[in-house]
Amino acid sequence: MEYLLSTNGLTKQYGRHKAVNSVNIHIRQGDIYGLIGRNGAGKTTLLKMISGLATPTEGDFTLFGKKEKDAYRCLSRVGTLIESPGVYPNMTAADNLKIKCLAMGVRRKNEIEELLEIVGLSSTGKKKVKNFSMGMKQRLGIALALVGNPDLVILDEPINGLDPQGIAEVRDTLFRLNRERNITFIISSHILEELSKIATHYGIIHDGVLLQELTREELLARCSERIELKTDDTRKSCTVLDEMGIRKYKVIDADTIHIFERLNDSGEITMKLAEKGIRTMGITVKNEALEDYYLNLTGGADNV
Amino acid sequence: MFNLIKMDLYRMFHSVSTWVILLLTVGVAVFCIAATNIDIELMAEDPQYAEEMLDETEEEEAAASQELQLGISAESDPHWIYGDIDAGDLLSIEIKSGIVTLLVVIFAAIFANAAQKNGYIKNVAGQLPDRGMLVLSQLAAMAVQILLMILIFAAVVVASGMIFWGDRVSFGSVSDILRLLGIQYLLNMGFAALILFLTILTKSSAFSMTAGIFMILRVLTPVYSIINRAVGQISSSWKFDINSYVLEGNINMAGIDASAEILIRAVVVGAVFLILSTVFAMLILKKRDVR
Repeated sequence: MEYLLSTNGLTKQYGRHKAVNSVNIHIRQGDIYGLIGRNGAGKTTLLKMISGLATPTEGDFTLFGKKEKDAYRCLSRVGTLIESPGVYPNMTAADNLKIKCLAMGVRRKNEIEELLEIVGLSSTGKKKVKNFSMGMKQRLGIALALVGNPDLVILDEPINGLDPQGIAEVRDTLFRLNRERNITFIISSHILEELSKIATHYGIIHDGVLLQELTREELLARCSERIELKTDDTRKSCTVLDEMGIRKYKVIDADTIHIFERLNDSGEITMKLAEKGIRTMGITVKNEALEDYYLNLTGGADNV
Repeated sequence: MFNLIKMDLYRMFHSVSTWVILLLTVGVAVFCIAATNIDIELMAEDPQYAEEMLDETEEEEAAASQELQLGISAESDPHWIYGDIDAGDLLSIEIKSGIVTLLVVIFAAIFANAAQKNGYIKNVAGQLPDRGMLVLSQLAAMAVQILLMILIFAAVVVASGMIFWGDRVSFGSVSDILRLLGIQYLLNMGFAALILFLTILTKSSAFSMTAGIFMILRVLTPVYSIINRAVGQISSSWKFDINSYVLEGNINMAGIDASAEILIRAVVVGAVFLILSTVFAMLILKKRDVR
């Protein structure tokens, strides 16, 4: 079994509008898969189909090596938090967890206490959920998704409504669960910076279409620091760079070269180019933010 | 399936509305007996009123359900002024009024809509091999609650009657009382299933609750009359009365003294509504995306 979850042309159509259009995602055991997309990009619809809450118009998915109806039977091994946490407001956190435990047939002792401990809600006691803060409800939603020790947990915008400390706590919790229990996570968000701190793989979705799948390393490489050299002769400039022992560079267009090493040597590079009679039009150290990378990929800030 | 029933029973007994409805059942039962007592006192004070009541009762029996009143009403037996009050008759009159069914409707609408309204259904629906099972588990929990409501109502009605009238309350056939309660239980289960179906269909407790209350209060009587006339015009030989085939009509007719024909029809109507509403509710929940 290569992938824990893979989708095959998964499509969801509402009337004439395709909310999710032929999406193929690939997730391995142990991945933390970040699904990035702006609001309305199709993240929730895609996750609902994978969670068994919505029926695909076209396509299917393979889960734990099982396809079609067999895959749906494996959904008992999948925990979900889709959109806002679904909780009974007049009950305590423990009661809400107890209900899920009963439904899933979980009889393990201390399951509820452990889950409350994991998400940092063990001190809530008899406090009713209606009196919880947004962040506490969100953490209870995560605890509900973890009932029954699932192999795959799908979290839709889990950091929504959380303050910076809450975001950090949730991030640490998910990271720990991934390491200690080898739980695979799919986490959707429209905040790429936050997702970048935890995800090992990324899927970028826009207007229902999966634009790109890439690993953390690939994403970082594309967003890494570099010297951007503007010159009137890129061919001669490359020769100079070679003579200087610089190997990690890339010619972008007729007058632009990106250099990925010796980032502090821009002065020396300018001098060597001048010695060979090559005019330097501009030289700057640049670092494309993850957000900028995403915006460029999805068609610019106008789309956000 | 057993796990889901346990889940729904747990949430039902941890829900405030469950206990409020049970308390209301007690209150309503006491209120019914108090109202009946006032009625008996009025009849005792005014023999003419008692005479009218006697005539009205006879006319009602003759007219069966041809002319039905709007609202909830329980007609006291004029023979109760001085004679014995049979516990079965008392229970029959109170339960036929539809007052318990009114509470069943309110409870069913609140209970059925809770998981959809707060989104809890999203936590479990995807992990089940068949989402339709959630309908069965809810219905199983409702069956327990409705059983409790009917038993509590019956017990409080009889106990209140004994407090008001002492030794005059007599116990006739226990099997007749059990048959009455059994048939009314089935009809109320049919009502609960119908409300569950309407709640799932419309995703709204307001709609299903209003529809249920309208049915019990007989607000739909004009509609039923139109249907009766329409059927009469199609086939004048057929003495069709839609009241005989709806839940509220049968709740009103299936008393302790009702004929075997009426009782059998009530059982069939209750069972049909229960089965069809459950099947349709299961199909909708299974086919429709969870939002």
